[in-house]
Amino acid sequence: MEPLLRVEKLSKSYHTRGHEVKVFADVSFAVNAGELLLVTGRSGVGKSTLLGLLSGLDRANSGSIFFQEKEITGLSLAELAELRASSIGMIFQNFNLIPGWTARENVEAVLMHRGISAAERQKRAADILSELGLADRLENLPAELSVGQQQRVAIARTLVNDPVLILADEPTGDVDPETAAEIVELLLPRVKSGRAAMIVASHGLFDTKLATRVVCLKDGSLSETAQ
Amino acid sequence: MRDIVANAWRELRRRKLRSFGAVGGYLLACAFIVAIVVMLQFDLQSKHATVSYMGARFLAYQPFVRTTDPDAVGRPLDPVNEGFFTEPTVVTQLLPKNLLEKIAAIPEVRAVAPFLLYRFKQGENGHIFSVGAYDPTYQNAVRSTLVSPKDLVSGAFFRAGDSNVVLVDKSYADLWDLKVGSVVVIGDMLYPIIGITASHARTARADVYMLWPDAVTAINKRLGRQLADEANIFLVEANGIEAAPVAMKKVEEVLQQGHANPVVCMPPVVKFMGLSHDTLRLVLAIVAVLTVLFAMNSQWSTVAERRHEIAILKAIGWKDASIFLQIIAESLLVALLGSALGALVGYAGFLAISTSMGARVSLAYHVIRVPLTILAIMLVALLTGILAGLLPASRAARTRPAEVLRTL
Repeated sequence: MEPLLRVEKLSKSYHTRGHEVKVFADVSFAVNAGELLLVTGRSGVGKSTLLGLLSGLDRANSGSIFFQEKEITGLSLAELAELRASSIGMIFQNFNLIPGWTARENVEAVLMHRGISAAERQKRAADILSELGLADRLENLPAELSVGQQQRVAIARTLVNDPVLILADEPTGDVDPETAAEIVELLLPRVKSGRAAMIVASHGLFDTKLATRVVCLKDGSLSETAQ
Repeated sequence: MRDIVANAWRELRRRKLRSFGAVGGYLLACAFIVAIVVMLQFDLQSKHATVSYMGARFLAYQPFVRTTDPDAVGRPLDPVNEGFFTEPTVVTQLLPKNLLEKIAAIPEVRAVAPFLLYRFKQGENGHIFSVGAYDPTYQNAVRSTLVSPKDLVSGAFFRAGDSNVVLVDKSYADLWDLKVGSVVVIGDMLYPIIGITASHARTARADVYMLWPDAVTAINKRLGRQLADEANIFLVEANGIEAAPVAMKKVEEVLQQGHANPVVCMPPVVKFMGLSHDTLRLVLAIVAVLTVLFAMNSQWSTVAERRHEIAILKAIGWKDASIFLQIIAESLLVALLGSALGALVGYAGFLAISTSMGARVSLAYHVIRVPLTILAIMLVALLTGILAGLLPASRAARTRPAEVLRTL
């Protein structure tokens, strides 16, 4: 079976004030549908940068990323945006909901500008929010929701376009253990059913037992750790 | 497109204070521009109409100084006090009336009429006054250049079959306390006054107006020879102000040593109108530039405030073009709302100013000219909205989401 995502010799460095700061080099790995890959490592080692490259939000200096056997490193910004909108779901550490938009509008945002009718968008957003227990919170602004409810809105936004790859950056980093467990519970069934793969970047708070594989990013290179 | 507009509207409502400020900026600018433009257009249109009215009409005659023939001026019995003249005190020669056909044949001439203007002295120690001969055959020319029923202040105008009756100019009537029903003595005859006419600024005027045959009879009694088919002035109306200079030149050629006098001093007025146009353009350009800068600054600040949100939208799959269009739509919506409200306020301002000044604005001006002007100004405002949104939208579209989200 071909992997859903394959990364080959990926390198990333930044240039600051004339100096090159190497984040990581020659990173290679693959993820199959139904797998949860946990990327661990200390803060600042480049976990978020790696997720940024995988989602096409950032460009690598060298190396290749193959998504569903298609190389995406050379795609245009518009093509990468289309890929994120159609196949990749992202969960951020601090939820990153738009404060002035309601829960429904935040979820609906993923479906906008894709030729989906407003009625269809509203239905899909309402359905998934209801599925996550927020049926009575559709028209609430993020500030009117509890932290746990905000996170569920963020998850709904991630899942509404039925992604095959979920990228989660410290999804349990800012929440209490109960909420963290709830988040994982909501996402895992999708992975375990084999409909999607998930890559989680965490500096240690994520339960490693939930992961299919654990890799550690340290000193600019990636190494698989035994579970 | 509906999504973009709906999102833009939501953003405006979300940032009420900032939106109020941005819309208010457009409102003030557009209200000012609409009020000024509509007012100045009305002012220029009125001036142009006045200048066209006065400047398109002129007197044509031959001054006496260009001849030594006493027959040319009719041999007045009292040449010191009496004679054919034109305002202010130019003694004129008599010209054959048939020159009228040659003048009428000039393409730039719309209408022409013969006119007799004779200065009488009333009695041995009497006063001097002027008598104008009114020929109703040439009403098209005389009603605009000399006198018409619209000029009546009291009494009645000449009617068919009238004879030996006169109209009197109001200033002359006031001077001698004349009223409808009073009589004036011209030569040795008494003439009842049937009407008083207003003392408007006309191309030609007289103290007393008589019908042509009566005037010829009265004048003949004061001349050493009888008037043939002659006139001392031709009243000419040109085909508009632009055609007037050419018409004047051609009429002067027909009269040979003739002179065409437009009476009013139109060139300086036209020059001042040009000054008004230039000032208007300058003021509008300054206001437009300031509006663009203000709107751009406002939109730029909005984009800076929303950097995080824009990064989120890009992270979840919004394309650069979608972000760009979204910001432009917001800028356009602000411009549309501001300019529409500004147009209403500006029009209300124009109504208030024009009413307080007692200006008579035609219905056509309200129904056609004002909406067209407002439409043009709103289109310019929308263009301003696009211009003001271009840089901020471009900046928003170029937001690097990975960088922004990482720094939070």
